[in-house]
Amino acid sequence: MNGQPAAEAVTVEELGLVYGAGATAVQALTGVALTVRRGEMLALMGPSGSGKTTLLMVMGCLLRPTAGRVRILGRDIGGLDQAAMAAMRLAHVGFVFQSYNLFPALTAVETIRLALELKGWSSATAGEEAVRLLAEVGLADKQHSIPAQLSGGQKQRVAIARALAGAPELILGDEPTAALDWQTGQGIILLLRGLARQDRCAVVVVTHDPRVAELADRIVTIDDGRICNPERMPHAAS
Amino acid sequence: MPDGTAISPRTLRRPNLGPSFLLAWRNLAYDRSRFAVTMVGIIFAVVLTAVQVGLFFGFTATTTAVIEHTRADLWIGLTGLRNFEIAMPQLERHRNIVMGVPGIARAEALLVFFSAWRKPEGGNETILVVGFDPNSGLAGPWNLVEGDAADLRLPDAVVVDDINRAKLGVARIGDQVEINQHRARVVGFTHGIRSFTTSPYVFATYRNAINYGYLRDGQANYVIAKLAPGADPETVQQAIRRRMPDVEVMTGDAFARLTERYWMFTTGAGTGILIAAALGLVVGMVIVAQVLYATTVDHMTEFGTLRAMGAPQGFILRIILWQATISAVLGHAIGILIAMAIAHGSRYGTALILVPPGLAVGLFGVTFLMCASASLVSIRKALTIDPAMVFQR
Ligand SMILES: Nc1ncnc2c1ncn2[C@@H]1O[C@H](COP(=O)(O)OP(=O)(O)OP(=O)(O)O)[C@@H](O)[C@H]1O
Ligand SMILES: [Mg+2]
Repeated sequence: MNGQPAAEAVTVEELGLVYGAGATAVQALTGVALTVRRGEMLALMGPSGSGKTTLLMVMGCLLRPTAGRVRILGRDIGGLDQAAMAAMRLAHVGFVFQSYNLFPALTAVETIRLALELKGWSSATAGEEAVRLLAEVGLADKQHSIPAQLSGGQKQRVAIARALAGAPELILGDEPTAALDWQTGQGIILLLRGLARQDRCAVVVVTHDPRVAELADRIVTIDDGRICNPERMPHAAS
Repeated sequence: MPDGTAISPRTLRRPNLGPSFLLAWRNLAYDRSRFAVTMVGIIFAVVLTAVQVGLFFGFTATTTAVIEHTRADLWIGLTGLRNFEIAMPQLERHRNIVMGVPGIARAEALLVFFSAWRKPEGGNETILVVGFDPNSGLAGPWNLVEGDAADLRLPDAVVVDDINRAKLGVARIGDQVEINQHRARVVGFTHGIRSFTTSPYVFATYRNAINYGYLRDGQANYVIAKLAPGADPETVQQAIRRRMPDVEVMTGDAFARLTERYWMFTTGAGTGILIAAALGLVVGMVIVAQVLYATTVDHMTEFGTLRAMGAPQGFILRIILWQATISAVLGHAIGILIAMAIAHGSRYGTALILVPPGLAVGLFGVTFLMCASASLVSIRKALTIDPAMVFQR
């Protein structure tokens, strides 16, 4: 990382999230405080049902917290309505999913172009940028393949290129390597970490795999909706 | 970045929703068998509706064909007249009274009566004899494709339509038949003069028709009249009514509308056709709604992903509406082509099917509305999707 003070991509304070209400209410997050800066990759670990996905969704403007504050690029998202939350996601957040969630009928380059055009790019510039992004994730030769013609790792690379489209400050991955073998998954994580370091976006990756977590800059463990202190550092600083 | 509320300018950039078309088209093309079912539904609805409405138009045109091809300004029939085919004989002096009305240039008798036609090979057919005055050119057969109209002046001559050759048992000029046990001879064939009542029109001169019907000279079912130049039709009609209280006087146009209203609606024939057309639409719409709904449900994860990415609801709405539009345009184009082919094939049939450009254009609007309203259910479902769904497996 360079010498500048790293900017906060997302900050949560005293975060609480309750699903539902009344007798069926589930307290999914309690008093969570966390800051992720651009340029770093953070691994989020914890047992099943501990609240990892929930935290990711709150950070990604998909869920409104029921307590505390969330700031994306310093902006409190507390008062935003659904449309404004969508606009925040569109401009600042990229998502990577365990099951890729590509569009089955679109080729790789069309997928990226679609993401860029959604963000307001003109068709012409979006086309060039899509080709560039696909080359960046190592898929220069798969531009015109639809998902069914790609391997799992290749699909996830397309998904990463799509998340990268328009250079969002925050990239969130929910178990992006869970469906991949270790070799392929490692490639994906290193790709994401490399992007964090050169593009100066922040990357948060939920994972159950300690080997994946070891590749991150920081590891945050969450249990029963609370962050476990102290925060662990990966053993091998790479 | 400090605590300010400044949003990056990118937040404010308007999304470019152009790719909604691409996604809609690709999604349709990706699942070909389902797209085929959608197409079948739309094509079915379009063809059925176009053919039914085309039949309606064809029948309507058929009911008024003789009136429309008669160059009379006024039609005079007995009170109670409801259609062209069934008209009571009038008093013989009616024609003379009409002749004496100021503003009338010419008035002549027209005979229209059902009769029995005995085929050369045996067997009978009910026909509608139209007996006209060949000297004025006001009435008579049109679109003669075989023979000479002048031959109608020969004794016992008739002209029939070539569509009815088989029905009337005649094949060529010179064939001998009997009308009401009176000798008659085919001297010509027209093309495309159909009869709504299924009893073929048989054209003859007034003089010959009198013989076929064993009528008295001077008798008439209609008096048809031509106005003098500059005469006001309304004034002349009133003058005729004043002189003959027991007749109906109307313009050719009004008589055509009266006749078509009678056959299409009073008899219920047209209503039945229109109901069949509406049913075709409804059935097509149900098929299309089901398939579009299934398509939407299938793509729920995609829509959820798009929403998670920050796509506005309008983007999802556009995808679904594009799907409906693409389906409507393709289905309508194919359906209308089929309907036009059927209409073309009807040229030689006894039932005329007319698919004019106006019907094709109007049906496109109906098809689009059908597809759009068929997608309403899917739209509701897709718009209320919670983007969080893509994380909850
Ligand atoms: N939509 C929901 N409604 C009610 N409760 C929910 C909902 N989503 C999650 N929960 C509950 O919130 C808690 C946290 O769920 P979450 O999905 O965040 O866990 P997780 O750490 O991602 O688990 P996993 O590792 O299995 O993916 C769980 O107890 C879960 O049952
Ligand atoms: Mg989870």
